[in-house]
Formats: sequence, C-alpha cells, structure tokens
Amino acid sequence: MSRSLEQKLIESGIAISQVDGAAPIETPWFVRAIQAFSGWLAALFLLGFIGMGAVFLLDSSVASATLGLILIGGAYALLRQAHSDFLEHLALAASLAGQMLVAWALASVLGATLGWDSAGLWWALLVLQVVLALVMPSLTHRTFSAFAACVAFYLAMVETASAPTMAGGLVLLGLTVLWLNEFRWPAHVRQLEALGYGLLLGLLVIQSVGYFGQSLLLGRYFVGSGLDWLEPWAGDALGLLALLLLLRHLFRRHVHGVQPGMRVAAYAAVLLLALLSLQARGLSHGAVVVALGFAIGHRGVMGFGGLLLLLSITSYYYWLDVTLLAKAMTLFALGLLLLAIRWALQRRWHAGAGVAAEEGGVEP
Amino acid sequence: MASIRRELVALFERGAIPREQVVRAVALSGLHPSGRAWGVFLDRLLLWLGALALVFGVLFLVAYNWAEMGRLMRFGLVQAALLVAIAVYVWAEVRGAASDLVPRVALMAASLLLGVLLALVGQVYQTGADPWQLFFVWAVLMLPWALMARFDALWILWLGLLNLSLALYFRTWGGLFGLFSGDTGALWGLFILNTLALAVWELGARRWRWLSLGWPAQLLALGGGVPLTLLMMSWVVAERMTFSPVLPVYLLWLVALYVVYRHWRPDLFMLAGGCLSVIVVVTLLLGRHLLWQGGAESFLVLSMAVLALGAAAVFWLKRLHREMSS
Repeated sequence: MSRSLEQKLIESGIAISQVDGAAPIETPWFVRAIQAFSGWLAALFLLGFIGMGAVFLLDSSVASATLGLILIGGAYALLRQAHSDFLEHLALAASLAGQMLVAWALASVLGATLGWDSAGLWWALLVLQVVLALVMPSLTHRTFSAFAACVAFYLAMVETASAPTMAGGLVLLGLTVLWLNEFRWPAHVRQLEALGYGLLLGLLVIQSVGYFGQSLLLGRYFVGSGLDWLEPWAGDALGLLALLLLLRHLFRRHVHGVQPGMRVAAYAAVLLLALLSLQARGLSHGAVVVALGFAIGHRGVMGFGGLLLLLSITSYYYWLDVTLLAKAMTLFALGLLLLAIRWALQRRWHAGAGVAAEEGGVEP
Repeated sequence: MASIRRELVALFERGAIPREQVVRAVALSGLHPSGRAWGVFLDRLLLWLGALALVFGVLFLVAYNWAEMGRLMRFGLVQAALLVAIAVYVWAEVRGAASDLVPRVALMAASLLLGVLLALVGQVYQTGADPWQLFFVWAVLMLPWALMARFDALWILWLGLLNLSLALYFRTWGGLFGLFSGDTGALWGLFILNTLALAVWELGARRWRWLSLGWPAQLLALGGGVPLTLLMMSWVVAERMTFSPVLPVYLLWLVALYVVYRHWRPDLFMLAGGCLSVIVVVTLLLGRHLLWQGGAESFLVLSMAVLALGAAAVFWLKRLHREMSS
C-alpha cells in the first residue's frame, strides 16, 4: 500500500497505530463473481445428486428441511474456519444447495396448507436470506444473500400488497442509508459494502422486472388488492425521500460551504426530478444512485446508477400511456431546461471567480 | 478515488485508526468530493443529459411519424439539429476551450442524429434496404467524426454499430460467401471483428493516452470472448465431436489472452474472463460425458469438478492480484 494517504493523515493529526501484519487485499468484484457462479453451478449439480440418489429426501418436507439446515450449518462452520479457496467454494455450494432444499420444504408445506396464493413462502425466504446475509462469514455469500433477500422481498410485496414499485423504493431507501453509513462501524466496512452490492443488484433486477411489465411470478400478478392504489407513485416517492436524505447528509457534511441559495436550488432540483419521475418512472431511482455514488466517492455505485438511468429511459420509450409526440416534447423541454440551468450555474461560478480574484482570494 | 477508498478501508480493517477519529480521517482523506468537484460533476451531468435529451427528443419525434408534419419539415428539423451539433463542435474547437467536454458532447450528438436522419430516409422513402445496411452506412458515415473526436465512447458507439450490422447481416442472409452458416457465421464474425478491434485498440493505447482507459478494451474482449465461448459450447454439444477450426482458434485465443494480459499489459479482468470461459467449456464437456451415463454419482463428480475449477481459478487470480497490487 502506498504511504501517501497514511502520511497525509498523520500530518493532519490522526493517530495511526502501526499494527503488525498487512491488511488483506480486497478481492476484485469479478473474481467474487466467478466464485459465486461456480458455487451456484456446483450447488445445482449437488442438488441433482441428492435428487437422483436420495429422492426420498425430497418427498418428505421434514427431511428436506433438516438436510437443508444441516448443509447451511455446515457451510457456516466451514466458512468460519476456511482458509482455502476450495473450502470456501465447497461451503458456498453446500449453503446454496441447503437454501434450495429449505425453500423446497417451505414451498411444499405452505403450498399444502395455504395453497399457492400465499405470500408466506416469500416472507419466510426473506427472513432466511436476511439472517444469512447478516451472519454468514463470507463476503460473496453476504452479497448473494442480500440480493436474494431483495428478490424475495419484491415477490412478497407483489403477492401481499400488489406493490412492486414500493418494494423497489424501500430497497433504494435501505441501500442509501447503508452506503451513507458505510464507515459507521469501521471494523465491518467490507461486510457493509458486500451487503450494499447485494442491494444494488437486487434493485437492478427489481427495476428490470418492473419495466418488462410483469412480475417474476409469470402471470400471477394481482392488481386491485392491498396497496395497489399507491402504485406506481409509492416507488418514486420513496426514491425522492432517499434523495432528500442524501441532500440532508451532504448539507451536514459541507455545513459551512453551502449557501442558503444553493440549498433552495437543490430542493428545487429535487422537485423538478419529482415532476419528471411522474412521466419517466424510475428516473428518480437512477438519479439517486448516481448522486449517491458520487457523494461517497464510489465509481461502482455510480455505474449501477447509470444502468438504472438507461433502463428508465428505455422503458420510457415503450411506455404506452403517452404518445411519442408528447414524450418528444417533454424531452425537448427537459433538454433545454437542463442546458439553461448549466448556463446559469456557469455564469454564477464565473461571477464568483471574478469577485474572488478582485478580493485577492482563491478561485472558488 | 478508488485507490483512496482501498487504502482507507485497509487502514480501518487493520484497526490502525481509533474509532473516534474515523469521521475526521474520512473527511481528510479526500474520498468525498469537495464543493468544487460537485460543481464539475454537475456541469458535466447537465451538459450530457441536456444534449442527450434533445437528441432523443428528435428521435422520438421521428419515430412518432407525425402525419401533420410534412417531409420537408421533418428533414429540415433533423438536418438543422445535426448542423447545430456540428456548429457547436466547430465553435468549441475554434474557441479552444480548456476541456474536451463540449466538442465531445457535440460530436456524440451529431453521430446519434446522423442515425436518426438515416432512419428518417428509410421511413419516408421506404427504400427497401435491409436493416443491417442502415447501421453499416451509419458507421461508415460517422467514421470521420470518430477519427476527429479522440473520444473512446464514440469509438465504442462505432464498433457497436458494426457489431449490430454484422449480426443483422447474418440474420438476413444466413452466411458470407457460403463459408459460414447462419448463427455460427454471426458468432465467427463478431469474434473476428471484436478481437481485431481489441488488438488495434491495445496497440493504439501505447501511443494515445485517451485510448488507455480500461473499460473499452474490456468491453471489446467480452465482445470477442463471448462469441468464441459460444462457438466452443456448440462444438461440445454437437452430435459428433469431429475436428473443428474453433478448437485451435480457442486454444490460441487463450494463450494470447494469457501472454498479453499476464505479461505485456497486466489486466486481471481479462484473465478472469478467460478463466470463466474455461470453467464453462470444461463443465459442459464433462457434463456431456458424465451425465450421458445418467448415474447420481455423475452429478457429484461434476459438482466437485466445478468446485475444483472455480477454486483453482480464484486462487490463481487472487495470487496474481496480490502480485499486481504490490
């Protein structure tokens, strides 16, 4: 590791203790992706082995659940002690196979007692995934479980309350809070990051499914019950809440550097975004994630935001409630407005620079 | 930004910074953007989003096919927009702006508007041209702008158009000079195009700094690696596994990937892509032979084989990562 940051912090009065041993180097995301992919593939083959070699286990819900929990428990024990990549892979595969067995058992029990209309399965799987995301001592596993929890939450919200965009909005709110507090528990910063990536992946999948116009349940999408009267505005409202939270955080961070006029302008921009989101659904979600990524200095998070923005613009083209002519006019108005705001900001900065130069100050 | 984050997290993980000083350390590290950085970010975002909104506005209007709007008006609108974009580029270049931002945005807008204009020609005159021709002509006509702009995203747009026209060509005609059949031909075409582009890109990156950003080369490597892996997979699942040119090409590609990105221009992403390709192909090969016998133990062997392959790849990549980071 370069000494520059350490040196800079020491010179600024931060007491950095010299701890023996170097910190482990962070594994890149694509290496973790290979780990997750091969673990998932191995888990599928493992299930094939159980399904063919011990089919009686699948016939009994109790036996499936027991074996599943044993596999998950074994994976947990292995991951706590694993110091080799093979063992970590084995634990991942065992855990994933175990989760599928538990899900199978839950589906059998709930299907038999409550019928297929029940959302209980998704809520139960949500609880399972949340627990695994919090306790499993593997970053790859945490990311996967956080992602799976998002999908389960989305399906539960669709089944229970017909509120898919609310599920997306709540996930966005959750990940905003998480990333803004990533350094709150410094010893667990990598674990929080892993959960954050899982939530981002989950949001991406939820938005994609929402834009394609059908739930993952393939035709089992019930409109007209629960909280459907809040749809689709609930998702955008929650997105804007996340943006306000981000703004509040930034104003607190730059408490002396933000003039009152700038605060008003920022809130006006949020209002504008709210109005635009009424037309292009999901726009606010993409904007929040891009701004969040920039605010916390994380290019990966910004990339996710870019993907979300791209998705919302694509879905806007195919949105059938408004004609392409109306959309074209909206885009013209938006484009001109954005360029006008840029022009006004540039004039303001140039004026500020001129005043500072006259006063002998530095450029703002 | 990424390096500061990495170093800061490593310090926290080592427990080197007292908890009560964490907030101050984060603030002093420079990880979070300053007021000035926010200004630059907003400036870029507003310019890009504003320009793209206008371009997509023109596209949506053309796609609406408004009967009330005559041909002359439609062509006039798109051509005027194109001229404005070019005028902005010339104005920014003549003015000698400090940053490349405005000329780049202007040329990107002009390139997209060119596609809209070509689509409008097809819409109004019903030329009967195949879809692949639209994208090919678009790519050919925007080439001078891509050459002038010195902008990686514009080159990626250009290559994207070529990829699209190639795929559409094979869908329309099903082969090239009778050498390749439909889908296989498209995969070979995409592999050759993207691999050649990658080679040229990497050589160009030695000379021009603006080409040395990692993501476009990684995208091109994916564009070449995915079709070749699919070709290998179709060879594995074919009824008869006879000799095919894909076999030596695949091996050669793997060797080239290793030599170039392990020694010449170290890049872990590229090597990870090669590993993933090998895992997929070998698993499919084992699956074909083991699952044919149908026993439960075949699944167990396959599961262990995938685990071993994945673990070996991750172990090797982690070791290389440590080596490249030190």
